[in-house]
Amino acid sequence: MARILQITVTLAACLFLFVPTLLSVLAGLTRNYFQGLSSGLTLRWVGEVWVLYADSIFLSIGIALACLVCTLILGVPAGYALARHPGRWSRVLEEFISLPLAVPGLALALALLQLYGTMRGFRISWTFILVGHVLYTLPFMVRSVLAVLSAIDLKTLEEGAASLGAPPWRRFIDIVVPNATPGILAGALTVVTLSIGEFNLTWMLHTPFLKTLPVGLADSYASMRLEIASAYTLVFFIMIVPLLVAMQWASAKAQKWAGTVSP
Amino acid sequence: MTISLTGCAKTFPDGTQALLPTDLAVNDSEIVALLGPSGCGKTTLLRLIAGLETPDADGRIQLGEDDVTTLPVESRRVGIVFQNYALFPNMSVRANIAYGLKMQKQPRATIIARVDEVMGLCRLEGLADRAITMLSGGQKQRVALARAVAPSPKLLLLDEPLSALDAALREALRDELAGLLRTIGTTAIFVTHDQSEALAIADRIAVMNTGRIEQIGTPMTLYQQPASPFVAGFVGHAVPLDGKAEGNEWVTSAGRFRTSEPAGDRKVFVRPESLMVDEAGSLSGTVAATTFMGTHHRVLVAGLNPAPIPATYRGSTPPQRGQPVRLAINADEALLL
Repeated sequence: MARILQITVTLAACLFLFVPTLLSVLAGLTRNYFQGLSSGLTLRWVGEVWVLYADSIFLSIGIALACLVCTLILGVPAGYALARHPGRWSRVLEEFISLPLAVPGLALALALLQLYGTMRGFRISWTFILVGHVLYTLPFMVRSVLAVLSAIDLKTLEEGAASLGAPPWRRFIDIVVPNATPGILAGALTVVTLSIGEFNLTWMLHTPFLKTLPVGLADSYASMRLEIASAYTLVFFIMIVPLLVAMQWASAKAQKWAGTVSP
Repeated sequence: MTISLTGCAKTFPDGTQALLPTDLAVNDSEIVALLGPSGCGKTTLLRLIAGLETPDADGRIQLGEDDVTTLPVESRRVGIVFQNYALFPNMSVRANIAYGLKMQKQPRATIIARVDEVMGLCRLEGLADRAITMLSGGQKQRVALARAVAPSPKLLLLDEPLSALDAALREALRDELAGLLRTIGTTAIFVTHDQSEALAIADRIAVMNTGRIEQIGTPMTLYQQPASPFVAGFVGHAVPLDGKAEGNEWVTSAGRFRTSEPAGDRKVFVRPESLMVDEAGSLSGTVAATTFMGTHHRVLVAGLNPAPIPATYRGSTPPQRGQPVRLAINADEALLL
């Protein structure tokens, strides 16, 4: 009896989550939403989304990849430095880097506009949005790398490599990066997923010629017919769901790795 | 390769003086143990020699003819076996052992030949492609040694090489390690807190206490002629026997016995194996406990010192708890310090 109750509650919760999504996706595939499914299914609206918003999709992918490159270059050495020098100041620094998580995206965007708004060339370039995304996603990369590196005795491993004649840069390439790989992978997937889905900050920073995927989504909801807006949701799902699945997989792998190598 | 340290001290940024100014000279191909309790500065001394720490100003470290005081560890050509081995988990056994040779930019064929040679020496055949996480404790220890030895270092340093192993394995690997180090023939310095390990492996032992070397000598010298109460206590568990000197005799509250010379202001220290339970003995006491040790019985005797002291009984009918016993000690074996 208790089992049946459990299953019922779980199913109900799943339905609660899935039904709105499913309805929205179906709306994007029906000929006419107001006539319902009886009007038949079509890919026409998905096609229209492509024609209207392909630029947004490519811009989002471009920004996400550029954001990934920036967070890798900044975040991996930062995570390494924090792991290598644990202490009170490192904790303070870690919290400081994480500040953009606590501050609402809108506030962060306002700060960026106040600081760089007058630099016109930069203000209207896609790199302006990129800066916002890097600020927002960097803590995820740093923390992910830090977590994996903190689980192993990095100092002794590096001393081992040094005693065998490896200079500092070789130790970073041969020891630090390979042992941080699961963390880097998990961090990278988080960064890409967050960058593609980021709306708050981007909405403040974008210009009419630079609409990312979620900003385009808002635009389509506001100004297009319901079927197109729903089809847009479908496109968004198709892009983001595989990333989410990969993210789960990578973080599970990172945890397992930390478990096997720590003494 | 010879090593000589002159006036090497180490003060950490927080003000802790881990090592007082220390001199140490090690001969070519010699195996020296740094023996002492935890916190005595033995690991700090090893790390100074390795180049993992720099000594305070005025300290000088010479490797052969070269002054290496300011040289970083990667340029010193020392092999280190770490306490927890520090094997690279992202590499196979073979890649771990080959790493030092790769850093020396040796040709591929040379690397392969040398790795095979060292793996044979350390009995690691068949484990070349094994992942580090799939090795047993003893295997890890041998891989760590092979990795340190492969690039033919000038000097081999081992930090508590056996302490991560369980007791049974430790004893077996101790003799194996002693043999291996002699086969390799490199000058070696190892740190240990276990006197039996130091006695079994080292040519000479430096006994350390509170940041300085108390005495350095061969295992026999340390055992027979300890220079201080600490050395006598740490090597061979000698305990001071309360009493006072009267000419050539030591007078305790429970009897007196002859010493090799007048003790004067010195104190008498006795080891459990020199204090024998013997009916003809001149000291008396009461048995507090008896433990069978295989070859003999260890008897804790009360009545001489405030705390019971250990003595030895070699016979088949050990005295029981509460029974009065007499103890004898050979005049030569009572240490005067």
